[in-house]
This record gives sequence, C-alpha cells and structure tokens, in this order.
Amino acid sequence: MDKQLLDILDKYFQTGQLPSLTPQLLEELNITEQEFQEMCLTMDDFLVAMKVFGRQELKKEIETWKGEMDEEELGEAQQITDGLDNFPDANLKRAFTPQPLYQGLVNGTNRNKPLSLVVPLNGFDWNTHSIDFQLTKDFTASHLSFQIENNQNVTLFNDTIDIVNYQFSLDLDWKKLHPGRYYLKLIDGNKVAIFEFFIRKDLMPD
Amino acid sequence: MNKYKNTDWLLLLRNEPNQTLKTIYCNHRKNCVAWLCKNFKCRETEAEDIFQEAIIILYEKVQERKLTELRSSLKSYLYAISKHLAFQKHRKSIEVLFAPNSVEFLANQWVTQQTQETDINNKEQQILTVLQNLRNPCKTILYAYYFKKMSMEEIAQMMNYKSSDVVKTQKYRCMNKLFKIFLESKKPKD
Repeated sequence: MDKQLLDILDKYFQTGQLPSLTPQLLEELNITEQEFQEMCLTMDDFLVAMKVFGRQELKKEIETWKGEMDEEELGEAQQITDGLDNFPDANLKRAFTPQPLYQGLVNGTNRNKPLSLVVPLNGFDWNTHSIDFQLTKDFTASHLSFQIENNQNVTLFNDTIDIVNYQFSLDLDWKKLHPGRYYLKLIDGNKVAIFEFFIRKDLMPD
Repeated sequence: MNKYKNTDWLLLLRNEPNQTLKTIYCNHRKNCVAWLCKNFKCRETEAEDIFQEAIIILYEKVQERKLTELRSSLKSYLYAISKHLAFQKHRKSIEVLFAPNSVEFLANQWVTQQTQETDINNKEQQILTVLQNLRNPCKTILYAYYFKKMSMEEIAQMMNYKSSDVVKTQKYRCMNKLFKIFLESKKPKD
C-alpha cells in the first residue's frame, strides 16, 4: 500500500470523507478506480473489526485494573487487621457511646419528612471511600449543607453539596478516622436531619 | 474530605482516555457492583461483567462523539446503562429504583445500537482474525491509534519511541502487513 493511500484512508477514518477521485490522483496512487473503491471498503471492514478487537483488548486492560484494585484492597484489609491492637476496649466503648444530645433525634425510620434519606439506612457502616446517598423525592433544593461530627460533638467536616436527582455522594477518608459512632447532619435552611453512622462497626463493644 | 463534583469527565475522557477511564472505573466499580447485586439480584461476577460493559459503552460513545453532554451525573449515566444491561441479561421485570427516565431511555437506545454494531460479517471477521494474530508492536500501535484514538505523540510516549515519526513509519508498516495478510487470505487457493 502506498503511503499516500494510507494517509487518504486515515483521513477518511478521522473525518469520514474521501477526496474527489481525479485521474491525476489515481495516477499518483498507481491504482484503478475499482481498486481504490475496494481499498476503501476494506478500510470500512477494518474499522468494524478494529472496534470488536478494541473491545476485547480494552476488556483485558480493565481486568488488569480490577486485579490491581483487588490486590490493593487486600493489602489495606491486612493493614486494618494488623492495627486492631491500637484500639483498647475502653477507648472503643467511649468512641461508640451514643451522643445523649442526639438521642431521639436521629432520623432513622421516618421516610415522609422532606429531608430524609432513602439510602443508606440509618446506622450504616462507612467502609468505602465514597458513599452514595439518596434523599426522598419530597426534597426539592439543589444543594444542602452538611456536617460530620464524632460522638463527642466535635465537628470534623462541614461543606455544601450539590443534589442531582435527589442524590449526592460524599467522599471520606474513613481509614484515617478512629473506629466509633459518628453523626451526619444535613441542613437545608432551618431544617436539620441527623443520621448516625459507624466506622468499623464490627469493633463496637456489646 | 471532598464533596462529589460532576467534573467534565467527557472532556477528560476524550483528552486523556487512558488515565481517565481507569479513574472512572476505580471510582465507581465497587459501589455500582454492590448496587447491581443488591437491586438486580446479580451474582458478583455477573455484576462485574455488567459494570465492565457499561464502562466500555461509555468509552466508545465518548470516542465516537455520540455522547458529548451529560444531562445528569456521570454516575447516573453509568448506573442507568448498568441497569439496562442487567435488565437485558435477566429479561424480567425489575423494580426501577432511581434512574431518571430520560437517561434510561437514552441508555436503552445506546445499548440496542451497541448490540447491533457488534454483529460482523465474514470479511470483517477475517480481518479481526488477522488483528488478533498480529504481534507487537503492530498490535499495540493499531489498537492505540484506531481504537483509542491516541495521537502519534501519545503513542510515541507510551511506547518509548524517539518521536512520532517513528510511530508513523511503524504504523504504515503494520497496516501494510495487515492488508497484505488479509488480501492474501482472500486469494483462491490452488
């Protein structure tokens, strides 16, 4: 294949357009019109085949990413298990004690309030980097303020969050937080809803 | 702590496809797979396959410029496609949890189209076989250029070539080789 012909076919690949076929061009390429048409059709077939081939190769790449992720996760889990001695029972008991101020305010079951969560359920274990939240469909504002507190009433994070289709996500470097009971406050003007969650709920003393 | 932002992922996917696609995959894989298992009664391996397929569809639509704008978040888009794929896999009525109708409709169209596009004729199958049997560097160069739509410069960098001209020459040789093998395979045997 002539280099000039490959350039034409590549341009066709990029733009979907072919140059007008003049006798001069055919002479330059040293092929007949029929041969040229055949090359273009073969290029079309090549691109379809490439799409299938590309998918197969991309799947292989994704499998590699998956493997990397699983390996990383295994390493992190090992680190967490190794660090269990760092949390004596007394500290754990204190960290998991409910905050008395919020007793009875934690919004666990009422799904009819305009500021309430459908998922996750109240008392969830925060054990992944990002958690997706879904509000009830009564909620109409486009953003919310939120605060995250530990059970000693200490505010650890506060910010505003955009709501898209009643959903929002929060990222939390949960592995850096001490195991214990935490509170998520959602604030919309003068409406406040409080939800509790845990870090390493499996360590909560009976 | 970072709040979730709906960054212009599509632009990033077009400009830096390699790293961006991996980031999207790693960010959403765990939650989406768990969501599929919980809501669509998928087995974990099945959910992994579905999510992988959704990632590939997202990638292809962006590369083909069929997806240039997101009306909802990237996450909603990925979940809507995953949901549709789960539907397709199970072919049974599953309760719709939270995908906006418009996104769902578009996802249906795209997935249907996707299925049609993967049907290939004999000639294309022959070329596919040639592609599968190519060796490196041809395999990598042609995949990077024609599927990933990477520039010559990016390919040169990825493959540690001195310049984009080296890639261009190499690509020319590879295409020549591929067309030659293919055209020879078409010739009637004595």
